[in-house]
Amino acid sequence: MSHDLVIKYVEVLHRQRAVLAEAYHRGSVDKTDDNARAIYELQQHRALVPFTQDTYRLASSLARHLDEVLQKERMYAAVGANIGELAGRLPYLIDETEKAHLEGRQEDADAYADNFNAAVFDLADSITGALQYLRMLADNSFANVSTLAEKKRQNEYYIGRAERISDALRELQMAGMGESLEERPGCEGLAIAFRSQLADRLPQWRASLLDITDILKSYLYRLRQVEPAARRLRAFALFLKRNPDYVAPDVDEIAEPPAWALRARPLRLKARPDLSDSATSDALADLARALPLARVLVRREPKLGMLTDDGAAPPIIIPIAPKPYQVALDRFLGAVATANAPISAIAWKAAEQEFDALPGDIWLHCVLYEYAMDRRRLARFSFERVEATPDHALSGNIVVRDVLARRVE
Amino acid sequence: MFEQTVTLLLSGQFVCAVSYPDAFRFLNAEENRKEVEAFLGRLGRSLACTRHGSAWYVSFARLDPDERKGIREEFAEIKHSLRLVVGFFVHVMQAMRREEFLSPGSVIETNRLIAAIDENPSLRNELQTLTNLGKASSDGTLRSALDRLLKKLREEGYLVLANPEREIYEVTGKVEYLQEVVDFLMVHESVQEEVEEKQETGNLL
Repeated sequence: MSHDLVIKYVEVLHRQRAVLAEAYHRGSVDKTDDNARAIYELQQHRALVPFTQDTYRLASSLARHLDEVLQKERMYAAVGANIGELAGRLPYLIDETEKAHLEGRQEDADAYADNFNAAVFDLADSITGALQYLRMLADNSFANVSTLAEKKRQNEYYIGRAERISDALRELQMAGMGESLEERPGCEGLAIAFRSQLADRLPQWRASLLDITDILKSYLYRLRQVEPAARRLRAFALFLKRNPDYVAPDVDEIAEPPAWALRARPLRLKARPDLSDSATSDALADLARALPLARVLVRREPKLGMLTDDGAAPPIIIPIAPKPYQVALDRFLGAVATANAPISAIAWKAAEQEFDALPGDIWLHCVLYEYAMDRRRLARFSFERVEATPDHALSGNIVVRDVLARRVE
Repeated sequence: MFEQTVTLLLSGQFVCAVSYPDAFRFLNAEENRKEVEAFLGRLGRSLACTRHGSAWYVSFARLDPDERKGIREEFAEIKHSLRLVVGFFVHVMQAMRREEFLSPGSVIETNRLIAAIDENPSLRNELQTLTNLGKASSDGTLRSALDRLLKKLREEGYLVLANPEREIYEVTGKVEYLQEVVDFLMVHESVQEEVEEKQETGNLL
């Protein structure tokens, strides 16, 4: 367990980090049964201070430190507020160091020298921090506020702060502290810290400050331009709305085209690889290899001319023979077409011995089927059924004994 | 960087800190700029920048008949999209209750914008009108109409999608060019700035 007070303090902060983080992010922390002990411990170490009843806030020094570390932006932050006061301490500390040295109080002189060195470091740190903060504000264009008026007010405020820092730096340079330290008895040691921490860095700080002030002022100038620009844009939008047929003039109609109208037409740039350049041939080859294969389409031209014998077996021709009833029907219709009187299908078949194998009822059925199909080729013929009297009048049967076919003129 | 910057400029792009930050930084260095200017000069072109220096673009160095034709074509494009672009920026300013101009680097959050439009019938109608101007077909929802418009403005080079996840857009330096066109046309057409208030009063009566 360390007895160093700094280590002990940092350990307390680390132990109660959750409460500290809550107080920082929320602005305050409420006391509950769970965190009462932590709050008590932090309060004892001046990390938390009472805010309202059972509510605590971070101590301002700790909150400021976290702001600096996390670069948190605060509205109207007192940037560089203490630079003047810190610089004002230095002459007193130099005087006291000199007096102690002349009076032989060496321990006191050493203590004053330590304080001087710490004050010089504080001052340098404060100036660096202030410049960094201003730089951040200048670069983000006061992004933490939204309205134009707020931006303008903040900008003017920070220009004022930058001018105060500039004054403090000028005074520091003008006071000639660096030279006097080397001449004053017992103060030679102070000159080292003063030179390394302040004097050598002053030109760089002043340049940085000038740069920041320049950005802030130019931004302020632009802010002042923005409002009229918005007004003009709104007025023009209204003009367009009220004049729906309005068309802007052609450039040719404008006697003296303004600078913006001279904007050049884009050039269509296209580069092709130089295939003869050996420097790029490897890269091109890699590229070519990476390309997907193109589909090769073989177009076959139809050949005109004779078929040539390629040695294959001759095609087999299978003639389709008509069925007997089809042959019989064809002949029967041929006979009807040439006859002047109707021809009985049964009588005609009986006369044709060639078709004896064709049963009579099947033949009659084929003729009736042909007749029922109402084909175009039968347009020249008419058919008439020869029906037998049914056994019973109401049986519904139709008994066909024969079909008479005749030619239609 | 020279090659990329010159290629961008010659292809008609506006080079600004939002759209092409590297090229913009390159051009802001005087010696680089001189190099680019010398190169463009040999092509009969020159390097120009918008009024407040937010964007660089290429102009013709002289005005021969060929160049006049080029200028005419470029201006025809501006004329073609003027109503839509002016209308869009004014619409966003109204919806977000911003009194200032949407200068380069200004942020447009799609979700906040659509919420603001959604709760105001007049803004809803206005959005519909703008969508018709842009001939952007949509499925009829406000969201889709706005998305189409934002896409159109991106294609025209006035916006970049800075954060695709949160759909946050940033206004580019080209908006300063638009402002110059508008200022010129207002003088040319003698448009009065006070006309806005008169119109509003008229509507109220």
